Amino acid sequence: MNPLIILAVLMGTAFTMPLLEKVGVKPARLFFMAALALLFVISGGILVNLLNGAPDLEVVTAGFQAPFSINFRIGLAEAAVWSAAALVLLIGGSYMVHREEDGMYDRMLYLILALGVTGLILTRDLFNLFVFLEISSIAVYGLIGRGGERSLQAGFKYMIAGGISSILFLIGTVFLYRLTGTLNIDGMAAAAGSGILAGTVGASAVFILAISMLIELKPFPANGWALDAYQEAPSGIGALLSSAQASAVFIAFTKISPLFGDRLAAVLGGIGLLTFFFANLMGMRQKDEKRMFGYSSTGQIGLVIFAWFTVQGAGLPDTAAWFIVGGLLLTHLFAKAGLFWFSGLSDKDKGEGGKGFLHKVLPSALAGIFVISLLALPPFPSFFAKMELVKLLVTGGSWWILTVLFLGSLFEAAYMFAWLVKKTKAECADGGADTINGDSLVVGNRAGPDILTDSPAVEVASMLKSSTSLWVAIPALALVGLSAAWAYMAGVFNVIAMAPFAAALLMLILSFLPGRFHGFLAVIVSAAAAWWIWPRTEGIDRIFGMVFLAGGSLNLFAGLYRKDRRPGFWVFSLMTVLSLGALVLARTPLEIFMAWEVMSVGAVLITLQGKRAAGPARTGMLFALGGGYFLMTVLMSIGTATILSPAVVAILVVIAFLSKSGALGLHVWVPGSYAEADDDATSLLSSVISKAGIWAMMIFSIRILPGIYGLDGPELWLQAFNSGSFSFLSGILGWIGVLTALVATIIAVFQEDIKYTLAWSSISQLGYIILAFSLFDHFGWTTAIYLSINHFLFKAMLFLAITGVIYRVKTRLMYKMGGLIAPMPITFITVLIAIIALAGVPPLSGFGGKWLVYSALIQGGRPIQAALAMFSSGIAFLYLFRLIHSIFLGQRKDDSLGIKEAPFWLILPQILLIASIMLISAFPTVILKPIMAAVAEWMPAAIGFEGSTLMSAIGYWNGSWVMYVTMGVFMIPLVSLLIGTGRKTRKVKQFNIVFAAERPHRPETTHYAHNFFAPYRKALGSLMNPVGRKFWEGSAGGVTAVSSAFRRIYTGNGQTYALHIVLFTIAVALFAGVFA
Amino acid sequence: MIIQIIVSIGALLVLIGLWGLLTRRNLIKMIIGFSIMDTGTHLIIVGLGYRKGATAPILDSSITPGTHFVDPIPSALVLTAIVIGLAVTALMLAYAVRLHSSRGSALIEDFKENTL
Repeated sequence: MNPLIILAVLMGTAFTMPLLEKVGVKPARLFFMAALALLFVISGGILVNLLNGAPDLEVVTAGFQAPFSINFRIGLAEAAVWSAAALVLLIGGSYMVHREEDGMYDRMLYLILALGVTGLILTRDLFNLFVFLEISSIAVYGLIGRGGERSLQAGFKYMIAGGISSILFLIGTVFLYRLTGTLNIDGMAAAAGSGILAGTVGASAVFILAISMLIELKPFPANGWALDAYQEAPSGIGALLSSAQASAVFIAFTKISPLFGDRLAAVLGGIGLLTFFFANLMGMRQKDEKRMFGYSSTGQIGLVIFAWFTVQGAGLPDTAAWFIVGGLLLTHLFAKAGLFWFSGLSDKDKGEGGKGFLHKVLPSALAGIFVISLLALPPFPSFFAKMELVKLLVTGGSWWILTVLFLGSLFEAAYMFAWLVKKTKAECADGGADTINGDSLVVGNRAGPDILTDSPAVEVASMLKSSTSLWVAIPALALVGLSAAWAYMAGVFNVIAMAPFAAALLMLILSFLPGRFHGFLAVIVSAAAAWWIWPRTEGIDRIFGMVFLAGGSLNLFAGLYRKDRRPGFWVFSLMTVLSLGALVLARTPLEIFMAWEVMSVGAVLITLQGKRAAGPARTGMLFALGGGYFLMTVLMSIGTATILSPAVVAILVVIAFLSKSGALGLHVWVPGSYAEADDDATSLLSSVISKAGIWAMMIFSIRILPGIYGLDGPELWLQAFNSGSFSFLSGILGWIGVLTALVATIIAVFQEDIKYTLAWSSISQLGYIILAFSLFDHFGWTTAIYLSINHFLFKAMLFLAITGVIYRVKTRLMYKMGGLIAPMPITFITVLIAIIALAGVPPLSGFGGKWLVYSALIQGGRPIQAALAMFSSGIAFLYLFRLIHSIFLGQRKDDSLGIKEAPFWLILPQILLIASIMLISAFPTVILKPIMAAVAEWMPAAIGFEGSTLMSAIGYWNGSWVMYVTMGVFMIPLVSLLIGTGRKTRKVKQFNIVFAAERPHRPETTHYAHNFFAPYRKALGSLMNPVGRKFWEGSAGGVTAVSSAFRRIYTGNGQTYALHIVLFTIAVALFAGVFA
Repeated sequence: MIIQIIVSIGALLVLIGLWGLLTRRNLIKMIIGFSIMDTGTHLIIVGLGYRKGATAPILDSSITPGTHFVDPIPSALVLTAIVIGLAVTALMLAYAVRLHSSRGSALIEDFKENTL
């Protein structure tokens, strides 16, 4: 069957619409939908054929061969975009029929638009292209204007721009015809190859044609009319404009691009990149949702244009070229269509019920898929496409271009992620009853779900009832399918790399089951993964793999203490934990980067589940992505001809990983994220996930970076590190570590909010680890890994214990607690043991850690850093003391009189952790020997055991003996106290005391806990200024100011927009050297 | 020579129309500017198809091998272009009428509300 029959069907249905309308609205709608369905079936069928290896489909018309007639050609790229556009048109048709007004004329215009889109994609005749361009434009003009008076204005502006563009197109076309004697695009390209178009007239004609098509693709700054149209058109029309129509025009644009000379191609690619950059810059200040999507759309199409000319310039073969361009284009097509429909649906529902369309699991998941895929994160096609694009740029050494690309991506992430947060957490945004002025902040964690109030069964039923909402799931499904295809093509479609996504998908499908089920599933899967990974890894990988997976599993188990559904928490936690496993097992640069991105984005999404975590999660996202860009640059330079200098690579890698671990300067996202995440999630983030950066820095040093420089084995690598810039850099890294430890400790001292205290404490502990790591020798790394494990143990204990406390007393403020030792004894013991371990006093494992740090530093020739580390660990006592004093000792407050010990789910992991910490304290060889062996694989051993005594060049440490002695010193007075004083003790009532010559009646007056270290704070004075935060806030302020300034060019006046187009054309002509 | 003149006049019309589009505030006058641009374009198309001293491209007995005739394709193109131009102009006018009736003004600067 001739596929062109679909053109007749579309046009015929359009023109019989008035007739069918006479019969009735229902038959008219039926035929309307049937025609669109046929379009999808035919295009999809052709796509399937081509995928099965059929040759490109050539269709001629009027019984003549081209160039004597118009011909159509359908290759794989055309078929893919065509069927994707047809799918979007089909869903959009249903959307229009169900959700928006669909008059007879609307349906006619819609079918005509489908016709135009089809023609644009298929035709190979330049004048025919013009006809289809006009057909789709006229349909678009008409459809935009359907939304009321303001959309009429937008439609008129669109028409002016489209009119100018079509006149340019005609002039260019007819000159090209005159010069080449054909209207067939391939014929013209052949003629261009023979040099006919090389003269001024030819170059001008090509330029005019190019610019006319470019204007249709909405380049910055000549795109004000398009933004107004996106803003004012009904959502359904915006969806089509942004996806099907824009993609079709882009495909047409690629067809004529063989005519362009190198210089013009370069200029057009540059315009694409600038459009991407500026559209996203301006999108950041956008309040109106649809206009914001409009900015994102123009930006994405700009990116696709840029990608197209980049792959053309690099001379990639078709498959590789479309892997990049198609990946970006199709992701944008489905994601943006989905987002526009989404916006329309949520608007509608708000008007009706006020409850918001998005307060359900599935819609949140859909919005998440659309946004995440737009941001080019795994596993979506755009991710793989962008990786390859970056690889091209790195190969070409185009660092400035890369910077602009990354900045634009970051801007887009900023506003799109903010939108996602706002949508999925709508109820939290307006506060709720538990936001209280100033610092008194009551945490209603137990109240639980932000998102779900309906029971699951009701929710699924209501989703099914409003079947139109389910339509929005189709583009998301398409994206999932495309992801699998792209992952397959990229060679990462294997069990390990795909496990996190499979788990997420499974949980989404099972979302009707109770939350506890998901919790158990997550615990079991991550424990099984730990079991599975143990024999498949060795050395450093195994050690960290166990921290990640076994530790993750333990933390997830604790999460079961909450009985509500926690949508999002389980799925993102499991996804993140599994991605940590994938990270440990990953071997290729792509696998590593993919797992890394999933892990860091997953951590942000976990954070986001907290009640007030929206702001911190947004910041965290930007740091995660920014770090990812640095990492991507390094990883993509592997195996290319571009060799970055080792120092540059080291700096990039360190920035990437330190932003994850939260080193000073890159730490600003950490305190808020840790504090505002769900309490048990904080434990996961701090004790488990924060170690990923440490693992990655080690693995990059020993495995990846030597690979880049072709250094074979550790010895050569050691030479590289000990020479020149590396030893300088490692010194700097050490200073970063020690200052992180010191500053974060000082800040931790002054916190009232227990979670902020522990968050800053986490940062400072990571500082010690970085410090030890920076030594780059056997001693230092052994220490770093030992500290990592130790930190995992005691920070999990602390956060889980505190989770229980917050759960019971319902506040995070320490001065509102007190006297909890009586009702929560096990929690008290956990905290006591954890802070002994953290403080580094005998006999617990922390002492060993501190001994290792100081010895390693002194042996490594860094006495000043050792002294500072020692100083800051002294300061840590101040905040550790508060944990015991303010929370567990003193008088119980009235609010916490009736409370009980923490739930079983929290207590059991704590007991396991206590046992572990006791074990490694008494027998440090249990973990130190494997650690030392693992590190010794890569560097000469500097320390070793003699029996159970650890020997270094400057001293020795025997953990077991320290334990015995300390326990003895501790037990003797304790026993004598118990025996000697037992009979004399007398229990008294709470207020049976005299305090400052008065008998108090309130617990607050006997327990000094608020602003505990005020004198120290005064003494530190201006040293307490948040320099880091101010720097980042200033940067963000600067960017938004620039964003506002640029947005002023869009005055809203249609005539100004026309002037933009004219000036833009002249400017591009100058750059492209047309007049030369 | 005649080709250059016709094409130049066409280009001049395009520029005049563009000038009108960019400087007239009234929607109707802007549309007239657009129309003039269109006409100029059509002139360019027809002009480029012209062959000096050639006959009409109609296949009848007067055409023998070796006879020069005017390139028929630009003529075919211009017909299509005229039709499309007409449709767009009509749509523009319709919009202008509706905009005027909604606002009581036909000045382009009165219609710039959507710049949030």
